[in-house]
Amino acid sequence: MHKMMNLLIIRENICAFFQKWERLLLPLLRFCYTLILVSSMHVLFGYQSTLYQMPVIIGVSAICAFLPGGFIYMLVAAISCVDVASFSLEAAALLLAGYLLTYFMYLCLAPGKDWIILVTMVLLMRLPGIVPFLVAILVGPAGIVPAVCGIVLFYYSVHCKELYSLLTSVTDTGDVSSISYLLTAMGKDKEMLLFIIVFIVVIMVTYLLYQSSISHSWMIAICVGMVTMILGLLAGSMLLEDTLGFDVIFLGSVLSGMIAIVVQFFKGVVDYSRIEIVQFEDDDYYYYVKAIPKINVAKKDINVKKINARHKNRSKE
Amino acid sequence: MVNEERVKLMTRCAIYEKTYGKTELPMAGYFKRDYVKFNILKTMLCAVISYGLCALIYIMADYENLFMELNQLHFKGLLLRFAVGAVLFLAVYYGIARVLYSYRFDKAKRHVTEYYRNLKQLKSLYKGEGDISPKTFEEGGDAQNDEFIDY
Repeated sequence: MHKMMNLLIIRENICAFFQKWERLLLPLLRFCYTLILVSSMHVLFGYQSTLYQMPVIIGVSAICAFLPGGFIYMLVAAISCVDVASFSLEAAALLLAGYLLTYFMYLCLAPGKDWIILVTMVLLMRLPGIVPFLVAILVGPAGIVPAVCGIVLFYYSVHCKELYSLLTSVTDTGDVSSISYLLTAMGKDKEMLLFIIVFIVVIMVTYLLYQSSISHSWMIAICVGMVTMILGLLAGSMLLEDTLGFDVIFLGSVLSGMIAIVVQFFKGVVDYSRIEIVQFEDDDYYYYVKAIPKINVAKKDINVKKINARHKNRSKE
Repeated sequence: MVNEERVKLMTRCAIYEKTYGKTELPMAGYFKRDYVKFNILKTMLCAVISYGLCALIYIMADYENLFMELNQLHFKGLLLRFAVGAVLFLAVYYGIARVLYSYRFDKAKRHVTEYYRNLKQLKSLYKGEGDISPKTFEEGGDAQNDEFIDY
């Protein structure tokens, strides 16, 4: 109980820190977010090294720090398309069509969810299991479609690499149609299908339990989601005869669950720490108001008792 | 003398205008059916573009078979396939857009009603103090049933 209280106080301190430095922190976070995204594009695609030179990445991230999220999506899409175009125009056209389809089919209906696509693409490289938990906790079922789009785009990048090695290794590439190759490879990709199905199930299970009124619902939701993911990936990899490693299934799922608990703990930080600075006027005054949301947990009372024995003794004397 | 209650209400209204109000207050200018229809139209346009892109990808991926069908003069079957696909695709999008925008309008209506309630309260506070000027409430409105009535 005491440890929990300490954790809550740490969270509130972070909240207070956010409140104090919000104007500086938000662009800084957006800068880091773009930096990670563009660097990840280098790992996912990375056929044209001039696009990913440090000054370019830093410049692009600095610009994006002051632009809305939609621009970041467009910028990442443009970078990856230009990158892929350096070895196959057809593959780049297909990738562009993919980004445009995502935009017209989903982002027009639900603007502001483009980050899920990009984050899913990045996280699938290292820790795929965290994606369904993040989506379930932060967005809900509305995040399923962008998460699926992210998975498809990630596996597109994987098959692009295969196509690249095929095109560079074979001297006579006249018969190789990039689009047919990529579409066939994507259609036959069992691992992609497995991840899509398991992620949808885990998102739904976690979200439904997370929303329920039972006590400790979020903890139960994450644990059940973790077990569902392990069972789903195990069953899927056995059924599809796909070789997913032990580390991906067990360690990945457990680590993802643990990170999800941390994310859940800090979920409110950004929301609660938002300061609103508003200005308005009436007939008599101009008002410049800074509205700061109330923080729920009171900070620890520290009583410092100063006992100056010598001084007391002297005064007695 | 600054009235604390008035400042609280004004701040609440200003925060709403700055955040959700940006997207929700323009909705107040529509009847529900007009808002939903207008957005369905926009969504249909996006759906047509999406279908076009899907068709383009399909043609590029399977152009050999498609050209063979064209050579055998199977125009009708080909067109029928594309037409049925388009109708199904657009019908699904129509349904989604209808439900989604109705829901969004209803949600926005609740927020806007709350906003106008705050404005009314603010107005009564000004009236109570007797320092209301005719210019102060040139803007604002009220929500009644399906309509938002501007002051």
